[in-house]
This record gives sequence, structure tokens and C-alpha cells, in this order.
Amino acid sequence: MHKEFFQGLSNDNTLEFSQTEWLKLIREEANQRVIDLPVPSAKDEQWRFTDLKKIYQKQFRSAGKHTLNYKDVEKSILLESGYQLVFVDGLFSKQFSRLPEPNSGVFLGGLQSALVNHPEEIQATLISTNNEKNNFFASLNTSYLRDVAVLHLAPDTSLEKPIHLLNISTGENTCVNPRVFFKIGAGSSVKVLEEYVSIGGKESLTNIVSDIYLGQSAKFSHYRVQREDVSSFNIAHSSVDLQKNSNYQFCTISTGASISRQDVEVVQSGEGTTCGFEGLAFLQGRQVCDLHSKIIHGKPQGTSKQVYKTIIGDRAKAVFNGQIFVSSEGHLSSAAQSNKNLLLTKNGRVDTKPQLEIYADDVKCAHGATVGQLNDDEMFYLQTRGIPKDVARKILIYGFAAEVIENLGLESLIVSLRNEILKLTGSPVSL
Amino acid sequence: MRNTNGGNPLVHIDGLATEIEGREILKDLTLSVFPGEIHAIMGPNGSGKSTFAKVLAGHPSYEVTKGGITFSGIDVLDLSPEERAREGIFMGFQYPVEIPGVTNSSFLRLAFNTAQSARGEDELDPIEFDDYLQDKLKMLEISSDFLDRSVNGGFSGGEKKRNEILQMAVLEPKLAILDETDSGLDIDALRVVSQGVNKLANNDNAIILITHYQRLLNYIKPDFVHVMHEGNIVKTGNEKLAQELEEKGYDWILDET
Ligand SMILES: Nc1ncnc2c1ncn2[C@@H]1O[C@H](COP(=O)(O)OP(=O)(O)OP(=O)(O)O)[C@@H](O)[C@H]1O
Ligand SMILES: [Mg+2]
Repeated sequence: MHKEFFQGLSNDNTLEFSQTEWLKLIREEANQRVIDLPVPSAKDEQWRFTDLKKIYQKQFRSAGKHTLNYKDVEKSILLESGYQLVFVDGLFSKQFSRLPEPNSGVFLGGLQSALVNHPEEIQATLISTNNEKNNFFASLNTSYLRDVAVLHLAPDTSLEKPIHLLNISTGENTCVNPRVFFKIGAGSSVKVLEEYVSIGGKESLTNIVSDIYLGQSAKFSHYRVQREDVSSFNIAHSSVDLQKNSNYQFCTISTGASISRQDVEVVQSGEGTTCGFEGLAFLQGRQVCDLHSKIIHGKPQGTSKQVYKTIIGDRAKAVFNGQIFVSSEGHLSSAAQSNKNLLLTKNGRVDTKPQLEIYADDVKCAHGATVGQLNDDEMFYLQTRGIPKDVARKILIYGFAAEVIENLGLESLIVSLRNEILKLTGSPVSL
Repeated sequence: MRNTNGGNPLVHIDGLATEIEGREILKDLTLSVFPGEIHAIMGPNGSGKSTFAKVLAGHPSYEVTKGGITFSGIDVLDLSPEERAREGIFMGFQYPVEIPGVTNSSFLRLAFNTAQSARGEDELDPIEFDDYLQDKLKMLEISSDFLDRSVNGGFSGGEKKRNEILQMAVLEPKLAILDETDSGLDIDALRVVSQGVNKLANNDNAIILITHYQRLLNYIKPDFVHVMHEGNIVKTGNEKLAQELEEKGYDWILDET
């Protein structure tokens, strides 16, 4: 059965929106699906390499309303952010958020105010994803939905400073179901750091569903950083819809969680869209990190470029499944995919698989995957400069990650990730 | 006039043989280098020059099957590359390696401070180190922009070679083995780099230049010129030997031996 793990969850009916009819309805429907649908297992092609037994063996509970001190949150604040949207255990925290003025063309907030400001769009999104995602974990998310992180950017609105969406997990053995909805209006541009951290949270399950929509010629740089406690579980589904000439730059970084799984589906539903997709996972102990990407070139002249790197130490495991689908309308598309894995130990594991389906002519498509160890000549070079072997090793590990990290474009995020990776390698050096 | 032949050799290589993947590359090679000397090693492609340099620096892939290396009176065969570096052995690479993610200045400072602490001297903070670097950058006509870039990242061939000599200038080794540092340098760069090397040479240190071109030796005057062939030194002479090689190639020597 494997379904005991969420039996302890309860729906919080004190939430203000709980009486909203359509929401009640979709939650009930989702709840029914959670009961009916089988949980993912190794028998499913999409889950072959990632065993969720550790999740199914647990008994999660719903998170309460936790209060944090500013001191706890402070160290997770992104220095250069303009606005900040903070959720604690899945609930919008007014206390820690810094939001735009009303009617400024930028709406940022939780579900309650989104229902007032953008009711139709919220309703349409929650209903359509719900129908599309006949998927156990997405249904679980809707069923136990507490709140939604909403960014709505009116057309032709550009924000210089990045927005920080910070999701904090504080509980032990809790299951939190964050929901994200970003709508970037035509001609608008913005950067968002969507981050998952634990402050006290342990052995918790974070089960995310995101819906992202880019209007015509919109530009969106989206950084997702998952650095939850290594005892946690993090599951995420996102779907991204790209309208004509829009440009989506996604970068996903994972260092946390015992098991993390991301399914990211990008649909190029207008002509001439651009999708950059970068990623980095740093895994130790027995961590498992699984990324399933799917890029659908559904209209002509779309480009996509993926660079996904993993560093695997101890007995950790990285899984990558990169699907590129070019529909019959996707002529003159260009898709490139590269997956590079750095194995630090004999006991680490990598399962990598490209999956290409091309139904159009004049398509450029390149893909490659490598699994390698640290390079002896690079080690030797550093050692001949007097640098001890263990430090040389750390420098080279960071060097592998640097291609992704140094490109991030958010200076304080670069610094914090650089320090985090050096710390994970136990390095005494600062670079 | 430089002091040659004073007291004990700085490095003594005695009947050295090395193998890689079961293949013997260096064969019974013997060479002594004294403080204050400059030696040039020439020889056809594949004769073992780079192998010799890497073995001196302690590359782990090469197995020493016979002979030994004594440096400043100590047997270095059991020392790791970093230990040898700290004893004062430096190798300038024929193909310097790119190290992403580390700025050149952090890398230089890390190398310098590692050597400082090995010598029991104070480490320099970034600002002090920057001061220390300025003269060396000027000497090698390297723009300080290079310090903010990752180590050799996207450097041109010539820039990489200059960067090797910058590292030598920072580390001030007792023995520098420069493997084809002149290859890939334009005419002006060759002059600048050579002047740099000459400034770094003194009576207490020694330099082994590996080169294919006599031209380098117009700038850096060697005390000895050796010809390497099939993993051994088959002829030793002075500057004139290099000129002769330039005119006649290697065949006549190989015939002789
Ligand atoms: N890792 C290795 N495995 C097998 N053979 C090797 C290896 N490294 C070097 N060799 C061989 O050893 C020989 C000497 O190589 P080395 O690089 O020392 O020559 P060189 O004199 O520096 O040549 P060049 O003038 O072209 O730089 C060559 O035949 C080379 O193929
Ligand atoms: Mg060579």
C-alpha cells in the first residue's frame, strides 16, 4: 500500500480560503486521486532509479504555525533582493516578507491576497494543473494545499533587483506542500531566487508544485536552490509555459535533502522561444538527487540549452533523465543537452539518460553525458605549486562546479554557494 | 660572472630510469646541476624532455625503476610533488593546465602562503600580497586584469607561459625546470619573459631550460647545453652546440652516438 506515510496529515480548515467553493472542490478531487492513484515505485519507468521507500516508511504530520525570530531568518536573506516573499512551513509570512506597493504592476504575495487581486488567474491555474497532472505527488500537494506563492508581473514591467522567494521548513517529520505560481507578463523581465532551506526542519517532506507562465517576449531568470537538511525529502514538479519570443533561464542547485526529485517540464508554446537550463547537484553520504527534465519544442525556432552537472561523493547517487521532444511544428529548433558527472568515490552512482524524440525537419540537436573522476594532470599542476593534495582536490571539485555557480549573476548567491561547496568539501581555503 | 661549480650540486640525478605504463622512457640518465648554473636541454620530439621535468617534479604516473634524485642533499624520490615544491623545485609546464573557479590571484596567494608557512614565515593577506605582486607583474608586463580571471582560463598560449613565469617569480624556487616556456611566445613576449627569468636567476638557484630553439639562448645564456635522445643525455656542450644544432639538426649527433 505504501500510503501510511501521509495518513497523519490533516487539512487546516481554519485557513481563510478554505470555504472558497472552487478550491474546496479541487482539493476534494485531488484527495480522491491521492486515494486512487498508486504511489510511484521502481516499477514505473519514470521512477526506475529513485527508490522512495524511505519516504513511504515514514509517518508525516501537518506542520503547525511556527514562529521564527528574525535572527534565525536573517542568514538566509539574499542581500541584493528587491522584494522578499517568505513562507514558513508552507504558510505566507507577512512578518519576514518585503512586498511591492499595491497597484505597482508587481503583485507578490500569498494565496489570500492573490485571491483578491488576481482571482481568475489563480483559479484557472490551480484548476488546469490539477487536471493535467494526474500525478500522485502533485495531487497530494493540491489536496493538502495551505497557501500559494504568487508573483504576477503586469506586461512591460521590468524589475532590476531580484525577488527572493524563501521557503523555510521548521518541523520534524512534517509534510509541507508549497505551491508556486509565477506569471510574467508580455515584455516584462525579472529574476527570482526560489529557495528551500531548513531552519530546525528535519526528516520532513517538502512536496512542491510550480506553474510558471511567460508572456510574449518576457524574460525570466529563475534560480532554484534546494539546501534543506540532509535528512529531508524534497519533491518538485514544475511546468513552464513559454509564449512567443520569451526567454526562460532556469538554474537549479541542490545540495540538501536525503532524496530529492525534480520534474521540470518546459513547453515552448510560441515561436522563437529560448530556454537555458543549468543545474548543479552536490551529493554526499547516501543522498539521492534525481532530475527529470522535459523540454517540448512545440513551435518553430525554439532553442534550448541544458548544462547539468553533478558531484557525487561517498555512496551518493545522481539520476538525470533529459527528455527533448520536438513536435512536428518544431522545425528549425535547436536543442543542446550536456550532463557531466564528477564521481569522487568508487561507491558513488550515476544514472544518466538522454531521451530524444524528434518529429520535425531542420532540427539541430546535440547531447552528451560524461562520468569522470578528478583529473590527474590538474592535480599534479596544483601540487607542483606546493598545494597539498587534499586542498588541490577541493579546488578542483569547486572548479567543476564553478561553471554553473559563477554564472549565476547574483553575487551574494555565488558567494554563499561557493562557501557552501568549499565547506562541504571540508576545505580550509577561501577562493 | 655567475658562480658555477661551488661546492655540492643543487640537484644530482644519478642513473635515473623511469617507466610509464610498462614503457621505459628515461634510461640511465645522469646530470648534476650546481647553484648558479643554467642548463639547456634540447632534443627531438618524444625524446623524454617533458618526462624528465615531470619526474623531477614528482609526477605520480611515472615510476622510477632505477637510480635516484638528490636535491639539496636530500633524496626526493619519496617526496610528493607538493613536498618537492616546498623544498624549492618548480616546474614550468609545456602545457599549463586551466583551473576554473579559482582566480589567478587567489591561486598565487594560496601557493605563496603555503610556501611561506612551510618556511615558517608569515602569510600575507590579500592586500599585502597584492603589493608583493605588483613588481612581478610589471617585470613580466602582465596586466593586473589577469589576476581576476580564473587560473589560465581562456588565456592564450603565450599568456599561459607568462603566467608560469609569474608563478616562478612568486614562489622563488631554488630549481626551476622550464619546459618549453618559449614555445608560443611572440618576439616581444620572448624578450620580456627571458629578462624576467634572468632577473630571477642568482648564485643560489639554478635553472633547467627545455627548448627547441637556439633563439631563447640568445636571451638566457646557458652554462651547458645537453642533447636528449631516447631518454638519455647523449651530448653535452656549451652555447655553440645549440648553434650547431640550429644549423645541422640532430641527425649528426644521433649518428655519432
Ligand atoms: N602517459 C604516457 N603513456 C605512454 N607514453 C608516454 C606517456 N607520456 C609520455 N609518453 C611517451 O614518452 C616519450 C617521451 O615523451 P615526452 O613528452 O617526455 O617527450 P618530449 O621530449 O618532451 O617531446 P616534445 O619535444 O614533443 O615535447 C614519448 O614517446 C611519449 O609518447
Ligand atoms: Mg615536451
